[in-house]
Amino acid sequence: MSLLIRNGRVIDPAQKLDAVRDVVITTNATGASGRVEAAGSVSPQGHAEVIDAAGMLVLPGLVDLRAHLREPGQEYKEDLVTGATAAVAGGVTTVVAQPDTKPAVDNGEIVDFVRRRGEAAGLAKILVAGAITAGLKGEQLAHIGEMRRAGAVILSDGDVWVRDAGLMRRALEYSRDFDLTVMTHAEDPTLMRGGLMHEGPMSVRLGLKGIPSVAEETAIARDLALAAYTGARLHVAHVSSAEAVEQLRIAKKRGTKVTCDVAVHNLVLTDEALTNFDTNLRLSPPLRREKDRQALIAGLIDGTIDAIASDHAPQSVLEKDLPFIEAEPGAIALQLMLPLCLTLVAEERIDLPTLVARLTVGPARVLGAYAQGAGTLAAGDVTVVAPDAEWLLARETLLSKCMNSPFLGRTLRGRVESTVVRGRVVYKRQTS
Amino acid sequence: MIAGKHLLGMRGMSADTIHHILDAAEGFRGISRRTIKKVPSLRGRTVLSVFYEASTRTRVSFELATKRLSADSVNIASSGSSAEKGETLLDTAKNLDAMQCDAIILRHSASGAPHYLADRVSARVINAGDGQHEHPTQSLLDLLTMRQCFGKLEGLEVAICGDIMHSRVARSNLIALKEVGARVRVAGPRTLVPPELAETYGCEVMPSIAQAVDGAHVVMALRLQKERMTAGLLPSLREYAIEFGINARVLSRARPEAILMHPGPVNRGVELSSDVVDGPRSVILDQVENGVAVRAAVLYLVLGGEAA
Repeated sequence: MSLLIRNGRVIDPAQKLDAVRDVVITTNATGASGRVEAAGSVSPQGHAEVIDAAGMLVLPGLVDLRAHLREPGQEYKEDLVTGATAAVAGGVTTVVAQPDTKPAVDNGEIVDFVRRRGEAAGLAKILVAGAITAGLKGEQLAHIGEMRRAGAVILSDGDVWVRDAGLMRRALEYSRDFDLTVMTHAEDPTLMRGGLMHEGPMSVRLGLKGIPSVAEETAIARDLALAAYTGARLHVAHVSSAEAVEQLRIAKKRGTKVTCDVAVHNLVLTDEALTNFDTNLRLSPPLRREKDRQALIAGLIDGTIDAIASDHAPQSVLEKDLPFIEAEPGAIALQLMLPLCLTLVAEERIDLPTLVARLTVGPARVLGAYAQGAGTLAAGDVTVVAPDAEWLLARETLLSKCMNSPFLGRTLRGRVESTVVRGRVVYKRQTS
Repeated sequence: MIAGKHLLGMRGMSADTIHHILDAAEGFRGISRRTIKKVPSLRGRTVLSVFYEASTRTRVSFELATKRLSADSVNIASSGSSAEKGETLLDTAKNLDAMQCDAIILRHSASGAPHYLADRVSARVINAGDGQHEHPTQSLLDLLTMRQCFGKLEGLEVAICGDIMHSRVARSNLIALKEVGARVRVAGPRTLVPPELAETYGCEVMPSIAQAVDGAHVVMALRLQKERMTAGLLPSLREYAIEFGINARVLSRARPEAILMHPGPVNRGVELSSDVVDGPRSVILDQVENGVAVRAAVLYLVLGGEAA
């Protein structure tokens, strides 16, 4: 079986490629593989399916290090099928599901459950992040060995920082025995108690309790020190402040084994957007100031920031149609991540190949061997994008169970046309 | 100018509109001083007061204002209402709206709650204080009091002292005073005075209460909530009174004609010494009287009347 994608602008940063090419994906019993050929050199004859990608971008399927898919336990917000459906509609072919479900993913059995449910859906590849601590409670280590055996690819306590420094040290040490990276949500709760948005002129004006950047920076400083001391691999999730980017730049220079990502909303919005108390802008980490946004983009460009994550966090009207202080944090993003990122290219803030690298090979390298080759076309995962097509983000177009996006009702530029996972077309845009 | 609109905050309100409301309030002040304190201006209109937070002054003055304008008023407090049974603000709003009232006066502990309500009901919403965000009618009554004392607002030097961080009164006044051309200095313990105030409001952040009061026309003290101690923002009430309280000695640094204001309720012996509360510069009770007039003016104008 084979699939031919013809005449698209093929960007595969892992192969340092940006040129008009044909891509052939072959599938057999052992899996799928993709190879790149000169444009027009491959005859359409004999391929099970041919996609004409003239004028389009042909990218490796996107890899997302952080999505809250809510199953098990909060299926009214999202489940693994709807989450994976939204993912492939957004060109995301590999998703790391966060463990902050109910119950939390803190043992082998639940890892296995999530993995199997993801596989059964047969859409995006669902990889599983296992908890660092039992029940995400920060009291004792989760069954890390058992979770690795069941297929966990990284460790994370979701949106909670491991507050106990001694326990975090042990988690980092122990994770080395199982070759797992520890992902930290670096935010010291004692510096942000009751905080709702970035602490600054806007929080003062709106009378909403602030989350200062130092809540993140002090937490990162501790975790970097522990990572250097233990020699373990640390991944700092969703960096949000300019100073935090600088901390990571220095740590990387010093040789600390650390990677990091930025959440897509922090790249395209600032706290100025909160004027009308839109609860869809209550995010964790919070939207910060323009200078922070610019530093995040600079960090993406120079490689300090390895990846862009969706931080997809579906919340229903029960959590969002409330006064701001009562609302839960988070916004959906799996389906919107790529178009939102493309606005940065349109504004000439970043070049397209670098952006694609941070959405594909960058996050794949954070996962190392557990990415199973994802992040390059060679893996057989492909996203075909019409870069200039505009589409209205309406309720009907969203495939997530929840509609909590500050971009609802807005027109986005850049539309995913087809998504291929393991050589199989799992998403094709409906043409009306 | 505000006819048919919500009154959610002082942000965006022009100096002209502010003076227009204050002029209307002067007219209503006369009514309160008559033997028959009632005019038929809003007869047949229904005004709902929904108070999710304790309040004496604001609630009573809105109720008196409503009654003096002959509107029908219904008061709902969070205790004794469905809010105690866990009804959300959304459902409360929808149900209240279904009862076809003309205006809803809302006091809520969440910043932005009136904005939330305004998007979901057909009645006009009047903010009677939302969290730490705004308290527009308090600001208007403060401006009215200042205008009565000095005959103008432009050029006044106003010192706002104390817990600025948690004060919606301070926020509304910072916006309104700048708009009408007064100059504001703020002061208080650094744990309660966010450094961003200067950038956000174009006011001056002074290093001490004494320096803020120096040469001021108006000294406005804010209430210190006891919760600030448990939140680790201050060591004790006693220390606050000594280091940041306003007494006769501090007040003597203001202009000879200066007035002392406080939105109430006062913690005597904490932010203000008892003698200055009752002293000759205190206009605290004038503020209360003006509260009824300003709220009558707001209701009258919002519900479509013209200046009396």
